[in-house]
Amino acid sequence: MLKENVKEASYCVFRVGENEFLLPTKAVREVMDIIKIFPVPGAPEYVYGAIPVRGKIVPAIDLSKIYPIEKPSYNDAKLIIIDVENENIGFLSETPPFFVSFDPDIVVEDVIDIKTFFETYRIKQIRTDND
Amino acid sequence: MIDKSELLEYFLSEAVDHVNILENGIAELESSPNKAYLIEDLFRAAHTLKGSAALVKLTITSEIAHRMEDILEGLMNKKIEPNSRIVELLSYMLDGIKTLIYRIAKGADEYLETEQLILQKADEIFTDEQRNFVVSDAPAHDIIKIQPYSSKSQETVDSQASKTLNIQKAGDSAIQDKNERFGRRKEDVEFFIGNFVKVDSQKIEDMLNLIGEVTIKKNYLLQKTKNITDISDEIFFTGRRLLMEVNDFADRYAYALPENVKYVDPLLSEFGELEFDRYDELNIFSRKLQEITNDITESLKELSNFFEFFGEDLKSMDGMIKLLKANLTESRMVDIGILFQRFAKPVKDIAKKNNKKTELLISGGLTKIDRVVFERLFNPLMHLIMNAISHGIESPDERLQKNKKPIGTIILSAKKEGGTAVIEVTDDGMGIDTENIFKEAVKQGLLKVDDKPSKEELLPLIFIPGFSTAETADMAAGRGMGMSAVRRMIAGINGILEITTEAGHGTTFRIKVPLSLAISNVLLFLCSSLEFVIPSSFVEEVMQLSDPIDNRTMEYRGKKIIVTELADILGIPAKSDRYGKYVIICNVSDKKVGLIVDDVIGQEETIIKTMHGFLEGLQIYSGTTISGDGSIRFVLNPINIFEEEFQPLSTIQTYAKEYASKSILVVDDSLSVRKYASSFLEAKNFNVYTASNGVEALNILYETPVDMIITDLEMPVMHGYEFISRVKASDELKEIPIVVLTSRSGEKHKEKAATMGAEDYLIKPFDEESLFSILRKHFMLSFA
Repeated sequence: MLKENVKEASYCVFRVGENEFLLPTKAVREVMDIIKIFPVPGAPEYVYGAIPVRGKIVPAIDLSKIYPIEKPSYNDAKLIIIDVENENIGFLSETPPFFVSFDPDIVVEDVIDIKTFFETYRIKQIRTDND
Repeated sequence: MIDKSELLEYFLSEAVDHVNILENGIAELESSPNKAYLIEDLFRAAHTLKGSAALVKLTITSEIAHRMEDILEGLMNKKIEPNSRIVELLSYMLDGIKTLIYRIAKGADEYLETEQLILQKADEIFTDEQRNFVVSDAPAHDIIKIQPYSSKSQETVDSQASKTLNIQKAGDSAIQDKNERFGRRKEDVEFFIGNFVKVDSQKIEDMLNLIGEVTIKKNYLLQKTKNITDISDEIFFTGRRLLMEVNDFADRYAYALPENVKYVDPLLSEFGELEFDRYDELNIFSRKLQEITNDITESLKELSNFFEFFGEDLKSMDGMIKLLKANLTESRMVDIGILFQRFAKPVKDIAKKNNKKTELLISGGLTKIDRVVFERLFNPLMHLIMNAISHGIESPDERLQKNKKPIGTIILSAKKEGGTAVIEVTDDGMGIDTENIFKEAVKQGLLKVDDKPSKEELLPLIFIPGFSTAETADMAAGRGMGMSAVRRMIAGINGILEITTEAGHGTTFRIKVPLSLAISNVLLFLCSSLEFVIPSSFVEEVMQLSDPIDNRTMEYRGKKIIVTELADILGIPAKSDRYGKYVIICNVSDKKVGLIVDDVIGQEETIIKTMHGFLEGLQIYSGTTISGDGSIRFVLNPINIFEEEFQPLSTIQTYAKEYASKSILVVDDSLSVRKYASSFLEAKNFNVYTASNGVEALNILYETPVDMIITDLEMPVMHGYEFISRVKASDELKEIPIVVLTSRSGEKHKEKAATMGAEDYLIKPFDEESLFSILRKHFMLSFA
């Protein structure tokens, strides 16, 4: 029983607009209700806001500003907080996420590679020193 | 049992101190070779280093330290002479140890390429020097009394413990047996005595963080108490009104009037009206009401008393928290002298590399600063010193020609001014030539040849990223991003950097940093109903914005300074009305700038956490704080906000004109048209206002000046023609150009619009280009 579980690849599935996204379950730290979200002025549009989680500031990312998705409704959104190399970021999900497991042989598409995502969308220093 | 990594931590913290002592001491040894206490200090440092390295099984470090100890012992017993060869050898060995410690600190193995070479050299030179030196009467068993430490920087735990220690020397150390190498000397046993406890600085950091949280919560409580006091005052007041009403009521109805007494108690029938008071329901009710209200008033009085005392209690707790914070902060303070000493060797090395001669003078080394500030000052100071040597100090020949002494001087000094430390790097070199800055500025197109900026205006230009006057940017003092990087590093610890220079006589760089970073005093303010803070160390003054100012500058203490609307920088809507706003005058190292915000709330003590990870690149902020009620507040970094603004003010006027954004009012009943138009107008840096009909548009126009109106014709409430006629009928508004944007393509409409005063006519659907061509025509702008 346990052995099989270990073999299976588990994913967290969440929804933004009509799209479903997958995250590796082991990267998910927690799923939070959003009570209050604070805007981050000056940040790119996909940073929907930030939430303090135990003293740390976690950015909430709106994937609809990254992928072509019709404006989602985040009225009842959940924030999926993930660990990326000792940092935390959160993805907004319109509905409560659920977890699925697949046989490792099955090729699962649409999984967000969180490391690449983090590196790609991390806010880079805008300054160019030779300007 | 303590695990090894923990032991290693202790070793590293200790080793740094010893290496510092050695480094500084060896440098000093060269100039004053015969100071007995200096050699003793060095000996002790080497000895302790050897012992503790051996304890954590760092045999190479221990071995080298051991050889150093031997040499120093030789010096102490006058078996060898402190000549330059010995000093160089010691310095070389120390370099080896430093390399080792760096490796170990990074978690690497203890490995040194030059290990054999160092040991071999050490033995060779040591025996050689011993032979050279006339051995007169070195006794085999002498007792040396170690004097208490007197050197300023070495008031370490160890030194306190070592006041009266006798060292029993057993024979010549060069031939000491292996067992004795790793510390069998008597004082190894007696070494750790004293009133001191070594604490991991991280522990103190954690405690300070906790105090920070407590402070935030306390601030929150104080604020809430004030709210509750207000509420209780309100209730008290209302209660009194109620009581008055009730009393009034009771006066009238406390006793029943005869005609109102409907029911006559048969028992009382024999009494006349004046012989017995009779009560009806109303009388009883009114009395009860009176009693209850009295009770409430009593309770309220108690409540307000309670809050008075509660407030007092909170205040005294506040005092204690502050004291606790001060004590804890102090425990983490380090003498800045230790930092200054680290530069002794680099100064020599850099000077040698540049074929210059320099000496480093240190003053105010006892000034204490926070360990965190201490560590983060090293790089900027290093950079300033490197610059001073390679670009400031002239070569010895040049100096002689200028009637200066051939050896250049660099002074590192520190002093405390209130809550800030002022650190100065002064050189007596050639100073910064503002002529050169001017030429370079012209070359880079920042200034025109016929501009006549003052010296004060030119100097800040060296802070512009990429601005360099050095002809060759070498590796050590690569000036490409030099000064701007230094300024940014200092801004990172909430400090500012100022320069004064005198051509031919030298330059002074003055760094002002808060003594402690753990808990910062910040100014809390509102912008677009969001709370932000700015470290108080940057804030010069807060002023209410009274006079309307032109777009980019204002008068401050007789000088023109740049001002910027914070909301514009952040891309959030600002209060359109500039009256009643505030301007925060910030000191950004070399000049004052103004930041316009909606409202200033006050000052507060808080902990700032630096930006990290995903949001790190957001450089307009230097960190975040969390308020007592759990809201996030971003900490603005004025240095980065105004980084691009470093140009002489004389050029700003034209600059401002060119970029002053024009305001355009878009009037259309269709939301999508409004959105469409504003999105690409905003992309071109226009200020866009929108209205869905003529009435709304007029309301906006009376409040806000705009430079152009784009209007639809068919709209509810007030249609376009009427709107145009109203605008053209107003003396204030009639000069504003009007562009009609409509789906009516007929000539009739077009003609009517033109006769009414519309300047241009644009037919829907329209494209960006046709709108831009109209804008270009009206504003004489050149944009892509």
